[in-house]
Amino acid sequence: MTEKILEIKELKTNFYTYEGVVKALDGIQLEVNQGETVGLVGETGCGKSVTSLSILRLILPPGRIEKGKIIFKLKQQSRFKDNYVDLLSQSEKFMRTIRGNEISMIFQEASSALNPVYTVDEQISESFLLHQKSQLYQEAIREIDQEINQARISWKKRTLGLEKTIFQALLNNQTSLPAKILGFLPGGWKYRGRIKRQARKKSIEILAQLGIANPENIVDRYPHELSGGMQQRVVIAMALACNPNLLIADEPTSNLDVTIQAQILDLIRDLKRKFKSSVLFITHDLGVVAEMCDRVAVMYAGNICEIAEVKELFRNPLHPYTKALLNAVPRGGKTKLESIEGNVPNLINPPSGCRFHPRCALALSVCSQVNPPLLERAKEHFLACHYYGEKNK
Amino acid sequence: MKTLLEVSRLKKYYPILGGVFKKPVGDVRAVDGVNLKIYRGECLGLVGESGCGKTTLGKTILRLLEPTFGHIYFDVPQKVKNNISQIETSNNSPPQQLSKLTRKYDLAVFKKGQLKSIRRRMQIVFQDPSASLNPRMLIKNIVGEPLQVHRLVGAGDLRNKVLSLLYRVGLTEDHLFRYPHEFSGGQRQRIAIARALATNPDFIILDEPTSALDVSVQAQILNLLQELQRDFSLTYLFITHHLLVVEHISDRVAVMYLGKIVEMASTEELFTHTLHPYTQALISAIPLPDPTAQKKRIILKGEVPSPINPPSGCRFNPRCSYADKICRQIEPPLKDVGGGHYVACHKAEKLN
Repeated sequence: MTEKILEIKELKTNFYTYEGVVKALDGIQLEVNQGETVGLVGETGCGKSVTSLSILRLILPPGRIEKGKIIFKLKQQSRFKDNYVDLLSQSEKFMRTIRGNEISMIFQEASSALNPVYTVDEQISESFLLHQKSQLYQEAIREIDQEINQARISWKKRTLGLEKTIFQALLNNQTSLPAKILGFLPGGWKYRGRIKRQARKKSIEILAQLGIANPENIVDRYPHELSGGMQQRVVIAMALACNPNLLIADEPTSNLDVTIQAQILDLIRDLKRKFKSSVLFITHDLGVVAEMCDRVAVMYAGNICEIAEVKELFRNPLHPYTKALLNAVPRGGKTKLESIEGNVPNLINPPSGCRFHPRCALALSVCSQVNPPLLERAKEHFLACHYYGEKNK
Repeated sequence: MKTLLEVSRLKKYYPILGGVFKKPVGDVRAVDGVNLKIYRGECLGLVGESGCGKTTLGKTILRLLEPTFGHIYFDVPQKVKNNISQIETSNNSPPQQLSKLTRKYDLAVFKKGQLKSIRRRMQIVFQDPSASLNPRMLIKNIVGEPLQVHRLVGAGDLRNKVLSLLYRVGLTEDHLFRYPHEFSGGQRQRIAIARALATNPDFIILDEPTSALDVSVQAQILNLLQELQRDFSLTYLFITHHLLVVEHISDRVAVMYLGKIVEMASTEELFTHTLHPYTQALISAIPLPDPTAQKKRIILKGEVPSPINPPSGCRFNPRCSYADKICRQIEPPLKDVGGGHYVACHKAEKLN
C-alpha cells in the first residue's frame, strides 16, 4: 500500500498586477505517493513553477495563494494526526522548519540559485545548522570525548569538560540562556566553530556521495569557480542535505549540455533510490520525463489536463493538448512535426470554459462554457476533457 | 553537388592579455583548424556542447568575428580554390600573386565594400530573439532595414516588400507598427527570420534558433524553416546542441568538440553508424520521448577541458574509454572512411 506524501486540492494562486489579476493556478489537483517520481510537464507560463513555489509557500507579493489545501506527510513525529498537515493553514515559523528539511527544492538555474559571496561549504552547511542542530551537538560531544581521552595535560581536560557541559546544555534546550549568551559573547565563537566544523564534515560527506572528486577542495570554493554541472551538483547537495521527504526539482537540467544532463539525471535517480524520497520533477522536456518519471501530470494555462502513468500517457494520450504536445517533439527521422495553432492564452483574461478550447480542433460548444473537471477515465488515468466524455457516452 | 561555402583550416584564437603591459600570454583556441564544405541547397547541422566553438565558427564564417587564420570561400569556382592552395604549397611563387587572388576570392580578407556586397547573400538568425531585435525599432523598420541598407527597393515599394516578407513567415499587417516586446518568443523568432530573408540570401546561418522556445512553438518554427528552404532554395548551417532537432532538419551533420570537427556524415549514416566515441556518447545521452525505449547509456566522465590548454594528441582522450598511447601523442586527422563519412579518431576502424 503506497501512502500519499503530498496531496494538493483545488489550489488557486493569483498575481495582482497593474494590468489585472493573473490567474496563474486555477484549481490544481495533484497527488504524490511515497517513493515515486511525478513529472509536471507544460509549456512556459503554464504554472509549473508557481505550483512548486506554492507548495513551499514561497509566493511573493503581488502573488497570493487564494484557496485550496496542500496536505503533506511529515517524516518525523509531530503533534498532527497521522503526521498529515495542511501547509496552507500553518504559520510562517512552522514553514521555516519545513523548507529544506521536509520539502526541499532544486532550482532551475544553479548559477543564480547559489549565493556568489559564500563558499560552497557555507551554503551547504546552512541547512545542517538550521535543521539538524541537535545531531551536530551530539557529534560535537562525541568529538570532545575523544579529545578528552587523548589530552594529557589536566587543565586542557578541564576546559574540554567545560565545553562538553555547555554542549550538553545546548542539546537539552536549544533556546536556553547559555545558547543565547554564546550567540552574543565574542568567546562564544569558539563553540560555534566546533559546530561549523561538524557541519563542514557533513557537507564534504554529501558532496562525496554526489560523485564529486576531491570534495575537501571543492567545499572551500566560491560558486563562480565551478562549472555548470558542478554548480548543479552543489544545488542538489543543498537540497538533499537534510534528507527531505519530498524533493521538488524545477527544471534541474534545462541549462545543461546533454552529456552533463545524463550525468545529473543518473545522479538524481540513484539518490532517490538511496534516500527513498519522492520527487516532483518539473520540466518541459518530454524526453526527460519519459526517462525519469513514474507518473506524469500535463499542465496547460494553470490547469492540470491529464494525469497518467508514464507508459500509459505516451502510449495512449487522451487529452488533445497532450496529443499535440507529443506530436510536436522531434523523435528522430524526417516525419513532419505537428504544431499547435495559436498561442498560449493570456492568463489575465483566460478563455472561458476549458482553457484549451480556442486552440483545440475537437472543441464542442460545451467546451467554451464549462471548465471540464478532472475525472478518472481509465484506471489511474485522469483527464479533464468534455470531448472524451461525449464520445464515450 | 556544387559547393556553396568552403572553409579551410579556419582558426579563431582569442588572445589572453596579462602583465602590466597587457602582453599576450596565451590563446583561447575557440576554433582550431576547421575544414568544412557546405553544398548548395543542403542543411548542414553543427552539433556540440556549449563552449565547443559552434557559434564562434558561425560568426567567423560571416566575418562578424575576424578569423585568425584560414580561408573562407563563398561561391568560388573549384579551379580558383585549387589554384590558391597550389600557390600556397609551392615555395617559389611570388607572394603578390597569392594576395591578389585571395583579396578577390577569400572572404577572410575581404575589404569593407566587398563584405557588404557578399553579406547580402549570407545572413544569420540569432539564438535569442529578444536580444537580437532592437527594442526601440518598429517591426516595419527592423524588417525593412536590410532592404534600405542594400538599396534593394525604392521608398515606395518598401512597405509592400516588408508586408510580403511578414506574410511569408506567418505574420500579418497588424504587426507592422509594433515593437518587439509586444510579441511572444515564437513570433519574435519569425520576425528575425523575416529580417534574414529580406535581402533574398542564398545562405543562412541558424544559430540555435529554437533553443529558447517551447516544443510546440519549436515545431512551428522548424516547419517554417523547412518550407522556406524549399521555396527559396536556401542553404542552411544549423547550429544547435539539440540532437533530435538536428536529426529532424539536417541532411548532413558535423560534430564539434573543443574547436575541432570530430565527425561529419550524412544524418542517417551518423545516427546509425556512429564512429567517434564522443558522438556515440552524445547520441546515447539524448533523453528519448519514449518510456519503453531500452538503451545503454555511455556516461562521460568529467567535463570539457579548457580550450586555453587543450589536451595533447586527440582532444577527447582524457574522457575517452578507448584511448591509449597513440591518442595521447598524435592528433588524429579528419579522414574520409567511405561514403562521405569523415571521422577524426585513431580507433575508428577498430570501433567499426
